Amino acid sequence: MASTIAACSSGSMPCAIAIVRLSGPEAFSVLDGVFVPNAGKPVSLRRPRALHYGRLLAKDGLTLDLCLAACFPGPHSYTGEDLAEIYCHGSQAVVAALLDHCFAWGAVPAPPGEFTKRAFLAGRLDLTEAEAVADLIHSQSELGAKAAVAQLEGSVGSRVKAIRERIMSLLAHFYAVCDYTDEDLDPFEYEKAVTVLEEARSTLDTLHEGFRRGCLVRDGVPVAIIGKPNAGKSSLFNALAGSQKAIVTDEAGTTRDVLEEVISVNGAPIRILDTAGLRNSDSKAERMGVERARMAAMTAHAVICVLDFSRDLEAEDREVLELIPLCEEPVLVLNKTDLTADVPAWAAEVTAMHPWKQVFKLSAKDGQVEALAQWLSTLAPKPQDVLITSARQAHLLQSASDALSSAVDSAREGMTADAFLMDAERAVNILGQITGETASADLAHEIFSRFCVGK
Amino acid sequence: MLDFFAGQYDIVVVGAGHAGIEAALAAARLGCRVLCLCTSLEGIGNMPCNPSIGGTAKGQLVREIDALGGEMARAADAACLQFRMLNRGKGPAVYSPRAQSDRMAYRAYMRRALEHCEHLDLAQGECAEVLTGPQGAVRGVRLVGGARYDCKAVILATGTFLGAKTFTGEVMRHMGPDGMYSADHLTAGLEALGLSLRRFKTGTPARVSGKSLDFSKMTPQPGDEGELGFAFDRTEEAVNRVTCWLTYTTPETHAIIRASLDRSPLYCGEIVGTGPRYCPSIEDKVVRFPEKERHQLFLEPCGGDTDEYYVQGMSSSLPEDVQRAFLRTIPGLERVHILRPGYAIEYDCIDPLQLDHTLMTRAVPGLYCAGQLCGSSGYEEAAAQGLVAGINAARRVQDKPPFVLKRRDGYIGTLIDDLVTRGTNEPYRMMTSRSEYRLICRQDNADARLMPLGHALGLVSGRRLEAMETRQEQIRQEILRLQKTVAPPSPRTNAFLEAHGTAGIALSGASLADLLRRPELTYDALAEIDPQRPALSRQVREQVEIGIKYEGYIRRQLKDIEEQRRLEDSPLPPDIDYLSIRTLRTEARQKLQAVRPETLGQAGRISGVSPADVGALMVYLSHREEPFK
Repeated sequence: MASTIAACSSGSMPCAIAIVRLSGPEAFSVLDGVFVPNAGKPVSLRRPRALHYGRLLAKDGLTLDLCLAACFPGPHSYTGEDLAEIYCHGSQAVVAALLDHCFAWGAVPAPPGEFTKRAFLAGRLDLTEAEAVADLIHSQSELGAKAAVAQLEGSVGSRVKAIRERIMSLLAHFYAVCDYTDEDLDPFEYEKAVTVLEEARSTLDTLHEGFRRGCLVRDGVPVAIIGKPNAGKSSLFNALAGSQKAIVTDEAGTTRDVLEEVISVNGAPIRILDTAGLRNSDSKAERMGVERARMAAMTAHAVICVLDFSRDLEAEDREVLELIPLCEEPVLVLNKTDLTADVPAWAAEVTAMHPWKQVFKLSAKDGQVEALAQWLSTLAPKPQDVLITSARQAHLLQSASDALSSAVDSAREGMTADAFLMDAERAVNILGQITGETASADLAHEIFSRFCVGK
Repeated sequence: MLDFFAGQYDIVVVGAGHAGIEAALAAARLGCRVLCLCTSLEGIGNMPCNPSIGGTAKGQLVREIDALGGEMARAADAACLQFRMLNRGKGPAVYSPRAQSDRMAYRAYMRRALEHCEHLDLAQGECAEVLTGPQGAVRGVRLVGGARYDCKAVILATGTFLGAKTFTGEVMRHMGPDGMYSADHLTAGLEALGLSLRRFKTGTPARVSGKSLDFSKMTPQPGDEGELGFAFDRTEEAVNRVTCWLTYTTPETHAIIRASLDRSPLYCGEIVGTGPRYCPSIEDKVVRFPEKERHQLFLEPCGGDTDEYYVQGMSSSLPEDVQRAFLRTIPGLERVHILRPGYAIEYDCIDPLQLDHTLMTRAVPGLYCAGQLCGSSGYEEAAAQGLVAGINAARRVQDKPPFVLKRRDGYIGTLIDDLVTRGTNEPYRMMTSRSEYRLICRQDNADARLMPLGHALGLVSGRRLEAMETRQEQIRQEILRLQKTVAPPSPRTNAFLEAHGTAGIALSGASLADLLRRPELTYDALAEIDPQRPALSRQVREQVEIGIKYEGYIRRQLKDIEEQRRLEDSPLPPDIDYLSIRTLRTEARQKLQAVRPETLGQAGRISGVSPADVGALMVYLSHREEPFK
């Protein structure tokens, strides 16, 4: 018998509303135990799929919260089981006390992904859909969500299908020629085969590149902020986050010296790496922090170099600037324009020193970051690109591309087609795992539909 | 009509075509008492269509039949008129032996084989009914004349005879192939047993008189020299006694066909059966490929002692006057005399999804089907199934576990798995493209793959097995020797390499195996710089070369097989109620419920079952073993 599971299904707290979900045969009785509608009958006896207002009780019987709850009877619920949802205020204390009470009524904590797994087991989702749902849940921004939805709708599938069909028709040609030696078929030409295989491989590589970009969408484009201490890095970060109503994830590496936060800039996910101040220090711990900051700067897709506009250029600033040639997409932020109207003498020198992508003069403290934010949002992949966020799909694309490479290599070395096409067929099979098709039966079909063969 | 008890056998085989022969011989050789029925003793081992055995993928089947202890290879060698190894140059995975056969010699050979086989009786007679006992299992057969034979298993190998109709233009006859009468009594009885039947169709071209042909206008197609034939223990080379001839249709041929389409039974709806796409009639080809200006055809002799020629490529069911008119537009056939016109034939067959992997019907225990009755086409496909059905019927009678060949074992396993898990909507022909392991399941190594199985069954003698093992040992030793023998970087070696268009070798030298991997070099060519080589047979030399040149590919395919083994060997409990598994899509539930695959691997090959469904099935199985806590 399936257990009844309970978990908070919404994001990190504190937040306005949290959703606690219950699924399983006892979902309704647990709900009735922890939630008392303001008027009359328990929720389970009221209209399903409608919201009911009432009191949420703690284990000791005291009222925890005033909120809403709803019942979704199986099998027409997300999980296919009886499902209940409680929409309470998003306080960790409320949610913890509520879950505690649910467990007292016999519910058990839901392991990660359990709701989707039950949906799959109930036949409400197939495996690829389940995979996309997982990505949808984990996507950090609107763009990520769009990529996951596109995947659900099959934009990857249709591209892969086209490539697969091209390789299939090549295979079909070879085997038609072999299986129908008495037929007057166009000869199978190795040169042409190699061209087709190479084109297919390069298309796959482009798609695979979409995985890297897909990851950027899912995880955010890494952008490092560097500068000496007190140059205004943190206020810049706060301004970027604040002005854009940051989505703050709790995945940030708070224990490390580089703080990561994903913010949504005009809908584009940007992962800001807020580095420790770059300065020389004798402290061992601090030196390690500085080293990490350098690494972050060098691996980020863009670097925001913050200099204090109101002060002279110091030795520590110059050290920061020395990092710039090692960074991609550097932009210069001359901060604290609120403190002085005079352009310092070093500004022209620094501006000319590197091929900055952009130079911004701003006051982070006053929230003047629109231009910078606008520029940051251009770093994210365009939503119309085919983006791949599933690691499984990316792995399959890579394997298919590798198989085609070895086919091309063997063909070049002068291997017979029965051997090098084995790798092409392998690629077809791998791609079939993405599109959900299997190869061998289709090959015969392809031969019959394309070629004039007989006896 | 009065029924009478006519005798008792272990197994009755219905039909003595290519499937029936192998089934009867295998079962009798395994010690069962066998009765082999045929509607006409003259029809034993007949080739009513092309006078040839083998061809691409079919040649592989013949070699596998031989390795398992079947008869077809030896008969084909005995009746061989011309032998070719097809696809030389396209790679060893697709090399395929093919022989033109003397039809009369083949029939005589097979009749002799049946007559001389111990425990086996032949009888002319038409089976009217399969009789079943209280548990629904086979109990015997009743013949049209009233004779009743008791038996424990029945193998149906009715070919194209069941409810057969032939069509030549407007003329329809209730007739089997080659003018033999059709078997019209059995179909109703099979339906009564719960089997579902359907109509398939196939066709054959006209036979013409050789003396009416002008071969000077055609291109000769000689046989290959130095080939050994089909049977593995053969040591003498196949003799080429005849030549085949190539010519082409002309625009006039096509014009006549197009103008006469309204008289074709195919196009005016007389024929209801499904025909094979791969074996279209000439009228089909002209209609489906209008852009082709000509189609090629071959004139193939039907025997050494006859002037009859088979017009390969010109299968037709158009009226006789049209056949005569269009044949006469072909270079070399201007004055052609038709001995027998071509015809289409329509017949009853069963949906093979009703069979398990031993070719036994799930509905009637002890009832086996083989050959064209199962929806296949071709002599070789039929023989392969007959062999497997014969072996399994015998093992059932003897209370032994079933004998099932897997796809990885070769073409026979692939053929049967395709038929019983995927089913077929048209007469099924074997093709190399249907085997995913074709670089391992080659025609040259069928002996190594299957003879140990044939020996264990009791169909391959110890002497034959030893000969195979000796060959394999020679191959292993020679590959080792080539790996160990280093060619010195001498001027002589490098001159040799240069002469063969490949780079010289550096100071450290190179092993002969490394050199053999180069596409420019062959095993035989290397003899020049390999004075120590032992004298080896052509079979062994060929496999040494393949083993080295394709080593990497073979190893990878073996690895694939290993990976597939997890699915292939993972059994599905017979009591699963697929309809109740909500994680499967509706189509998959219905297909799985109907086909009832024995393993997860088979489940994945059923059309309508997607990889996601197989995933769902795996999840279901893991939950079944370990239900929700």
